Amino acid sequence: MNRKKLKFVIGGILIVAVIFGVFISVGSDNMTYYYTPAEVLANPGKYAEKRIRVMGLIEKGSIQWDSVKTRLDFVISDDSEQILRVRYHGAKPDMFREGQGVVVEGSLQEGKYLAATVLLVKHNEEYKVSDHSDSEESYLKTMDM
Amino acid sequence: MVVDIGYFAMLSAFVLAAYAIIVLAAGIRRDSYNLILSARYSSIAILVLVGVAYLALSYAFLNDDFSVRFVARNSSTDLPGFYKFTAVWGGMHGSLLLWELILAFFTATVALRYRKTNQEILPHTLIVLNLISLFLLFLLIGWSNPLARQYPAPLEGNGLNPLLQNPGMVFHPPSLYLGYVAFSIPFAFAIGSLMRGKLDNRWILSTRRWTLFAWFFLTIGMILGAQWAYVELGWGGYWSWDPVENGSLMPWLTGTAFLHSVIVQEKRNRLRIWNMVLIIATYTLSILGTFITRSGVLNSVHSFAKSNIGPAFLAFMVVILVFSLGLLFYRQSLLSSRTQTAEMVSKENAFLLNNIVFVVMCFTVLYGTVFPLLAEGLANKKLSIQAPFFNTIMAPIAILMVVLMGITHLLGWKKTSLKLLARNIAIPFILAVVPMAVVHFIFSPPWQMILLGGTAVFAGYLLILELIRSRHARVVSDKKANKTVNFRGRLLNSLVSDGRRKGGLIIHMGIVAMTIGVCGAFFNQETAFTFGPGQSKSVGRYELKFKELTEFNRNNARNVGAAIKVIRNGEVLDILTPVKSYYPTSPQPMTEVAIRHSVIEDLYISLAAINKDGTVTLNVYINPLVNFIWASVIFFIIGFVYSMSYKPVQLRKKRGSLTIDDDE
Repeated sequence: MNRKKLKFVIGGILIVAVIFGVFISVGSDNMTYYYTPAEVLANPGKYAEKRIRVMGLIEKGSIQWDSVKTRLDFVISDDSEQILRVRYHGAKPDMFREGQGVVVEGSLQEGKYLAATVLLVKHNEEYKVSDHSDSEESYLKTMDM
Repeated sequence: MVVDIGYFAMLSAFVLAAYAIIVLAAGIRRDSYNLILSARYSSIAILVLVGVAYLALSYAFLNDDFSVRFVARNSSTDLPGFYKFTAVWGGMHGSLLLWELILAFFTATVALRYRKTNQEILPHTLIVLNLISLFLLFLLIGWSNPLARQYPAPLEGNGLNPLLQNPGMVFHPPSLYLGYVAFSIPFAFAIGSLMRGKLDNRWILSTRRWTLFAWFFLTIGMILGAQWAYVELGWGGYWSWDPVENGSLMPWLTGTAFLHSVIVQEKRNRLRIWNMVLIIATYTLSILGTFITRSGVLNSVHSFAKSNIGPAFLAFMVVILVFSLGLLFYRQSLLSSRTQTAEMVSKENAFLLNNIVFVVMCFTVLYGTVFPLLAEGLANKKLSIQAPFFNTIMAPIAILMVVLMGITHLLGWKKTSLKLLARNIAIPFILAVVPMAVVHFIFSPPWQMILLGGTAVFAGYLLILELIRSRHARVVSDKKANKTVNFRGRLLNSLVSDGRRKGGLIIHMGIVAMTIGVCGAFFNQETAFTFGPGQSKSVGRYELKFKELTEFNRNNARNVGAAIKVIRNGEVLDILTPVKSYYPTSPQPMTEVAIRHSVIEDLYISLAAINKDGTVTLNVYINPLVNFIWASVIFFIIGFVYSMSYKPVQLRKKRGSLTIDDDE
């Protein structure tokens, strides 16, 4: 390998290293992890003041919609029967109703409820351009946005 | 009956594609013109057969034949006829058939058109295209059969997803497919020349316009998709760095890099290996995009539900990548370019920088899209990377891209007079700095906006100046040749001449328009509130007054909406009616937004809820300059037409002759 080539290789490696360094540092600032209500409630201190995403199903009879303040209060749960209260400011999405799977993103307040800024609702099967119906669980497993 | 004929046609096409591959291989080995001729004709037969299958599926849709499972799942008797026709690509299986139809059409075109000009590599190229066809037909006759039957046939279908009942959505997928599939032509030519070992620049010249075609339709497809998301999804935006959006952006980025770097090979005979890498990457990424969309590994509004063709696409992608790169490695000695020196500031180096910019952008998108997948697959951590990641990294690179776009037109091959360059850019530079300073002091937006906007304005000036100059060039050359041309002739000449240069300039002006539109997003406003009839609320420069609730029918949906008076300075500008649409086939309503467009900004109202007490909850967005993004399409179309009118000089002169030497 002549010197010129070597220079190119070293330069290339440096550039790639810098790029990945930037990716990783910017990426980790903008990364949110997914948790279940049980995980969050088992150790609320760990999640304080951190942006997290929580997946769960909307509990029956828990939806309180304050149209004047455009505030949505509800409770989500998972298989372990653990429940997490969620407060979301903003409009109620089209598909939002009891029993639906949702993903909420926000931060845990006073270790008690999640102040959500993002609310994603699972779309109904009929709405999907789907040729195979997939179950709730598999949906939640693959949900990402 | 018709459906059975369609399925039989797909089977026959599959057999024929296999036949074509075998015959081509034999023809290459024995150097038999007749065998290759037979394979060429079979591409036409494949096109006809796939066409029959496509028509059979359309026929099933138009006649509500719900014994076809795909029709039952994606249509219903009440669907308007137009949407029945387009519902063919409303689901995965049908869109795959459309994909194959386009590929068959392009393959037949290649088989007929390039029989003389690319005689040596044509058989190899056709093998590649037929292999791709074989893979798609394999899926279509098995796992992903759009003509599969079900018994008993239901009396009514599930209906087409209401989200897809929108004109933008109708043309978004075919446009993307045209782009993706057209990229397989330069890819097949590249692999064909690698297989043949004939590595001059001919494949670059022959596929120049295919690449432009692919780029154009991919671009238009993405803009249509963005436009659809904007008017249909109701969240006020058009791009969310969703995995599927990223899936189409990645091949676009490498394709754009390829579009530029082939010019360096054409003019200066450099970057020959690099161009191979780029087209291989572009094609592989378009398959990755398909995999992301089809496999359901990443959920988004676009994804089709999970299916087993995802792994098939993944396997196909790996095979393509390994095979292509292996071949490239094997042939690399034939591709070494003689190093041609160029000064630091030269067109070559500007193109090189352009390529680095696009590739880094592509890596950014790839990282952000694939990292969550890897994290889940390898570390079992579920996470998502958010939009700020992309915005933070892409903004500075985009600024560099826009500057380059403006300046590169002024640079010369090999070397550039820096003095002349400085003189040319001085005035545009000042003209860009002044308005941005004003914007800075009035609105004090983030620095990204100032720089992005400033560079867009700067590049815009340069492009316009160049466009004016390109008109002069023809006049001057006519004068030199002592040609006397009357005024109308001169005008015509200045309009049609130098199509390649004009095309490039105009397309770049489209990018400037788009950049300006994106800058508007830094000033977006968003608010949500509830009010009752007769009440009003001020948003931005507007006063919104809730007139009444209304109800009406449109197409096959019943709509309930809120009539909102838009008032500015006491004057009623408009009445907007955002609605909830109830489709008979779906249990829940869809939200249809109402938008008041203007050059400066869009007032975008989405009806979030109609409450029991008669009040309504609205989401209101004010999106400045967003229409510049849609307007860029006009530039792209005009520029595209100009660019397509250009035929490489090397091909023009020697058209029709059998042996062609390249300009090496």
